[in-house]
This record gives sequence, C-alpha cells and structure tokens, in this order.
Amino acid sequence: MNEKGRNTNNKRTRGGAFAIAAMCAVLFMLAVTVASIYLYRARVKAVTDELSEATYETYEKYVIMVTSDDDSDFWQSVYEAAKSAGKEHGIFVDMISDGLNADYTKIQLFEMAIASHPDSIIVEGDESEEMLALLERAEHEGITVVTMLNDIQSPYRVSFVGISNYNLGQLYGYQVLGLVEEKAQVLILSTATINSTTESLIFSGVQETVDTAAEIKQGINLQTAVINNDDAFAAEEYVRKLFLNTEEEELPQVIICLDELTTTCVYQALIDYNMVGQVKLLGYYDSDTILNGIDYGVINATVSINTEQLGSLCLEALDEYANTGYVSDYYSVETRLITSENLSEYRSREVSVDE
Amino acid sequence: MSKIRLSLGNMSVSSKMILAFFLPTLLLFFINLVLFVNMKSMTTSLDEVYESNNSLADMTETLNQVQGNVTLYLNTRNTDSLEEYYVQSQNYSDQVEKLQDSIADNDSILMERNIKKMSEEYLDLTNKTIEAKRGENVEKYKKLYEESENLYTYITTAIFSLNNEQFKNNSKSYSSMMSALQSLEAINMITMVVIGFTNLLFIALIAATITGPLVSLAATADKVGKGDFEVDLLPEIGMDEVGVVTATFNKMILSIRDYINRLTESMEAERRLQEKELLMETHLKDAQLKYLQAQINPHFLFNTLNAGVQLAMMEDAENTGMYIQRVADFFRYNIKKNHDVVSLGDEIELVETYIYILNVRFSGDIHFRKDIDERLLDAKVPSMILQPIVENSVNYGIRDIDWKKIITLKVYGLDNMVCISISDNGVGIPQDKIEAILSGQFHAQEDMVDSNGVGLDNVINRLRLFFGEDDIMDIISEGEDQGTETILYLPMQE
Repeated sequence: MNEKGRNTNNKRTRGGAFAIAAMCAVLFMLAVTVASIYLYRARVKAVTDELSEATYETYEKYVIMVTSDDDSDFWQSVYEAAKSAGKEHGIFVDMISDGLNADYTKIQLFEMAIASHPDSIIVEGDESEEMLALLERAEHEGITVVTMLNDIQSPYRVSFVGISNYNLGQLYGYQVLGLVEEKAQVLILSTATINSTTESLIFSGVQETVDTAAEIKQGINLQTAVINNDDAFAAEEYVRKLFLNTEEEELPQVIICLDELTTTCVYQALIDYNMVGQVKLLGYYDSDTILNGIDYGVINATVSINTEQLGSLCLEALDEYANTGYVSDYYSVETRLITSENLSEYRSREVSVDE
Repeated sequence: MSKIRLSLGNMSVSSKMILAFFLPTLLLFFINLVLFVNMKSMTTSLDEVYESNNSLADMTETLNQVQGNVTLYLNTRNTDSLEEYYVQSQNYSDQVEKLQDSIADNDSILMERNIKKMSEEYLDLTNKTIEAKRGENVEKYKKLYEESENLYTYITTAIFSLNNEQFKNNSKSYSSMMSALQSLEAINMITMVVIGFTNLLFIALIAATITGPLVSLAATADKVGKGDFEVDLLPEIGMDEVGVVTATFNKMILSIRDYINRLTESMEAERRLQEKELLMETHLKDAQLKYLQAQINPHFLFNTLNAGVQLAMMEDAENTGMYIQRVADFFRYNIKKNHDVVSLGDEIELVETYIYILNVRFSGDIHFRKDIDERLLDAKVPSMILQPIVENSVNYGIRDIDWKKIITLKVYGLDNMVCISISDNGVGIPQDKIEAILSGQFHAQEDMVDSNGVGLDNVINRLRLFFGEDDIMDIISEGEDQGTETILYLPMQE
C-alpha cells in the first residue's frame, strides 16, 4: 500500500509539472498578446494626441495690431506686452502679418485688418491720406481704433498712446550740448514712417534746448533728413551714401536717429567707415545691438521707450472705452535716456523685469 | 490550482490536441484582428491628415472661379458668367461657412477666422459690384470692383499661407504616423515570432504528456515480456486515454505477480502434502513394525523354539525337530535382515526355508524347482524381496488349483543384469492387476492372513529405491490358468 502511495505522489508531481509548464506557456502567450496590444494602443494614442488639435484658450475679443515693421524688436516687445495685458481681459491681440507669406505695407495690413472685422485695431499712425480713409472705414464697420507712437489726426480714433515728442527733443538737445563745443553740425535722421508732426516736435525740442545755451555754445546747426523707405533697404543705402559721398570735414558731428533702423545703420556705418568718436551718435530704442553699441562707445546715448507700457496702455485704453464708453485722448509712455553710465543699471533692471 | 492541474491532466488526448491547436490559433487570430482594426483606423486618420489641405485647395479654386466670373461679367455682361458667378459664390459661401471663427491663441485658427470674415466681406462686395454693374453705375462698380479685387488678393494670400502652415503640420503628423506604423510593424513581427515559438513549446509540452507515458509503457511491457515481473509500476499522470492504459497495465503486472505467487504457493502446498503423506505412511509402517517387533521378543521366541527342537529330538521326532528349526531360521531372518542388504544366496535360502515350511503345512504339495547361476549368488540385494513374491505366487497363484503345484526359481545373468525369475503354474493374474501392481497402486491388505506383512508394493518400492531404477520388476501372465512369472531385473553391482 505504501509503495503504491509513493508511486501516486510521483505521478502527481510529474503530471503537475507538465500542466504547470503548459499553463505558463499559455499565460506567457496571453501576456505577450496583451503587451503588444497595449504597446500598440499607446503608440496609436501618442500619435493621435499629436494629431488632434490641442484645445486652445478662447477669448471674447479680438484685437489686431498693425505697425510699419511687425518683425522689429521694438514692435515685437510692444506686441508681447499688449498680448499679455489683453489675456487678462479675455482679449486676444494678434499681428496678422505673422501667418502671411507675403510682405505687406502697413496700409495693406490695415486694410486686411479692417476686412477681418476684429473688435478693435491698434495701429501705428501716420499722416497719409490712405490711413485717414481706412480709419474712417474702420469706424464705419464699428471697429475701435487706437493709435500708437504716431497719431492720426482724425476724430475717428478713440485714443493715442505715445511719447511726448517735444520732451524727446529736449532730451536729445541736452545730450548734444554735452557732446559738442562751438560750431557743430547736427543731423536729425529718420525714415518716412515718422509723422511730420512728430518730427517737427522733436526738432523743436532739440532746437530750443540748444538755443538756451546759445550764449555759451554758438553755432550749433540743426539739419533734418527723412529717408524715403518705400524701397527695401533704403535706409541702409542712404547712410552708406552719406558716409561715402560726404567729405570728412563736412560730416555732421552728431547724428540723431529717430528710429531703430536708422540707429542701427549709422552705428554699423561708423564702425565700417572708421568714424567712431568723430561722429557722435544719439539713437533710438534699446535693442541689444544698440546697447552693445553704447557699451563699445560707438553710440553715445539712446532713448528707450517703455514698450511694455506702450502695449499695456493701449489695452487699457481699449478696455476703458469698452467698459465706460469714454477714454482719455492721450496716454503718455515714459521714455528713458541710456548712456554708458547707466547702462549696466539699465541692463540689470531689464533682466529682473524679464524674470 | 490542483483542481485545474487535475482537470488538465484528465483531458482526453484528443481534447488536448484540439486545445493545443485551437488556443494559439485563436490568440493569433485575435491579435490579427486587433492589429487590423487599429491599422485600419490609422490609415483612415492618415487619409484625414491632408483633408484640410484639400479643402483649402478647393476653396482657392472656387474663389478663383468667383473672381474670374465677376471679371468676366464686368467685361462682357455674359449671362452664363453671371449664372456661373451665382453658383460659384454660393459654393464659396458654403465652404466659408465651414471655417471656424473662434478667437483662440493659435495662428491657424485665427487665420481661418480672418479668412472667413474677409470672404464674407468679399462676397458682399462682389454682390454689390454685380448689382452696380446691372444698375449701370459705372463709377460705383469700378470702385467696388477694385475693393473686391484687393480683398481677393488678400484672401488668396491668406488661404495660401494657411495652407502652407497646415501642410507643415500635416506633414509632421504624417511622418509621426509613419514612424508609428513602422514601430507597430515591429511590434507585430516580434509578437508573432514570440507567440510562434511559445506555441511550439506549448504543443511540445502537450505532446510530451501523450508520448512520454506511452514510451515508458512500451519499455516496461518489453521488460515484462522478458520475464521480469518485478518492474516498477508506471506513474499514472492524469486519467486521459494514455493514463487509463497505464493504470490497466499496472493492474495487469500486479495480477500476474499475484497469480505466480499463488501458483507457487499451491504447488508448494501440494508437495508438502505429498511429503507428509509419504512420511505418514513410512511412520505408520515404522510404527507397525516396531509394534510387531516389540511384540516379538526375539530371545523368547528362539529359546522357545529351541526348546521345541530339543523336545522333538528327545522324542526322536526328527521331522518335527527339523521343522521347528526351519521355522526358527525363518523368523530369525525375518527379524534380523529387515533393514539390511543381503546376498542373493541368503535370499534364496530363505525362499527354500519358506517352501519347506509350506510343504509341511500343506503336505508336500508345492514342488520347488531351481535353476541358478552359482556365480551370481554373491550379488547384493535388499532383504525380503524374493520371499514375498513367492508368497504371492502361493497365496494367489497356486493355492486353490487342482493340478500339481510347481514354483520355479531361476537366476541368470543378462546384459549386465542379474535376472531372477519366479514363476508358478497357477491361475495367473489379469493384465489390469499386473499394471496396478507395477504402478504401485495395489496396496497389500494389511490384515492378510498368511502373510508376513511385506507386500509386493513394498518390495517394488524398496527395489526401486535401492537400485535407483523404476523398471526393476516385470510380471508376465499369459492368461487364465497359464501361471504367472515374476522377473526381477537387477543391475549388477561390482
């Protein structure tokens, strides 16, 4: 009986081993199947996630920003500020030149903007007829317009956000007095995008400031030049011509540039034609290039406009008008003069602001 | 768990094979199905990838048609182009309708919205232009046409830009889908291969549960066939068909062992029984003998008989004295020589003594003739072999016959044998009785009157034992009243 019993145990263990092995094989196959299906699904899901459109935040209001140079650092900075200010109010600020493959002029962009029926348009103004006409059309379509930096003389725009150009002129004027002795030529350079009003205000500011020191420093002569930048690269061409064709003695001692483009062109030309120190440069805007120029001593000073403020004030104006129906006619944006003395301080402040 | 084990083990062979085939096939089929379905959905998605591009291209086409027809109508006032304009502008309007106009932080979405708005404006302008043309307001329609043409260019550019943007996105999607497809192919391949191998293993395992027991069964059966019944019993794995055969085989081995044991036992028992019987007989005879011997005090007997002889002599009864002497001789021999080996001469002497006694009793009735080869008288033989034979002849052969009673004793040599023949001319013995005597089946009746107690079967047995031969005696009787001859064939011993 014992022998028989022992045999039965052996039977069971050997039979059991087989059965377990077979079941393990089956389970393993099942596991592999499940794993492959899971991997498959994961991969498919990853792809379909990629494909499916992400949900984007939607906004109630749509505002288009139109400038003469959408890609420039200056306007990009303004745009970012306006955009983030807008987000807080459920307003989306857009630059339609972003998605378009072709280059369009400001007028064309303005036209497209109006045709796109946004709630509002923020536009860099100028004195052209087309602008006036388009502004009227915008008003007709029920689109609120706010002008930036340069104003449009029209009742159809609700507000203007910009700087005091006369004050700007004064700032430049003081710098000039610091840079020259008697009998200096000063050239005030700008591109055609500038309003004549703006230009004349700045000119006045410089002139009158210089005049106040007329007893001490005589003979400071102011000239203006406006570059017609309908053609691409017109500014650079002009500057090059200026430095090539003018005799050294006849070059102005100080050049005041009223926009980023001309500032950068003259800065480069001073280096290229070896005129650093001979010709002083007072510039406009605080791009890295220009700040470096100050650092290297090529540019004596530059004016920075608080672009963030410009952007956010535009939105504030729109918001105010939307909520109350009334808005201030003019919002002032602060300007700042940057020289080699306060450069590092300015830079660190910018860094901390960014952070 | 053990239940599953048992149930797995107890599946019939055919079930196991069906399972081994069916299960992996099912698995593979299932995987294939899943993969196919997913593949299908992915290709559908792939198809949809460039749908947006297609629709935008269609839009451009329709827009061109609209603009073209407007221009054509303004140029020629052709009614066909006017009809076509209406058709196409409706088409375009429908297509534009499908564009989304939400304000979201995404260039593509915003552009769609702007295109939609611009298109709506555009269609409005073209309608007004057509109207103005029909109303013959030249200045108005020219102005409107210019505006609409402007918008047309803007919209075209916008659509173009959007198309490009979407194309970029779609291409990204497409390539990520393609790479997904490739990795899926890899997964697929690997899965198939792995499952294929595992399946092989699984089937091998199942097959092993079938063939393993069969092989050991065959090996064990072989051993049993060669006579080894002490093989180990086979392990019974489960109760499928093979298990049943194995169990039955084990039972068979046990039964065989059992049967052999029983057989051996019974044979041994029988042998022991036979031994016992023989022993019993011997003991019985021994007891009888001892009893008889105990009864006869030899000294008393001989002294008694000697006294008788003396008395006879004193009375001058010589014959009587002789007779009593011969009787004493007879009894002396009877007692002394019972266990010994004697010479043939001694035995013949005894026979003579016996005949003499009988003749005295039966008044010289029995004639005794001798024909003896003297040289053989020294042959060694067991005691008490001839006298019983003669006694039989007397008691059975010649006792009640009417004619002259003759007993003949012959001793001669033949072929290395000493032959002793005792024959009488009596009634003979029937053949069947002869056979009974020779085969030892005829037992002497123990209370025989006129018998010295040593039966013929005893003589035969002792002769057979002494000489180690069965064919020691022959009895010939030719028929009724033809007499009986008993011949002893004793091997010669030197």
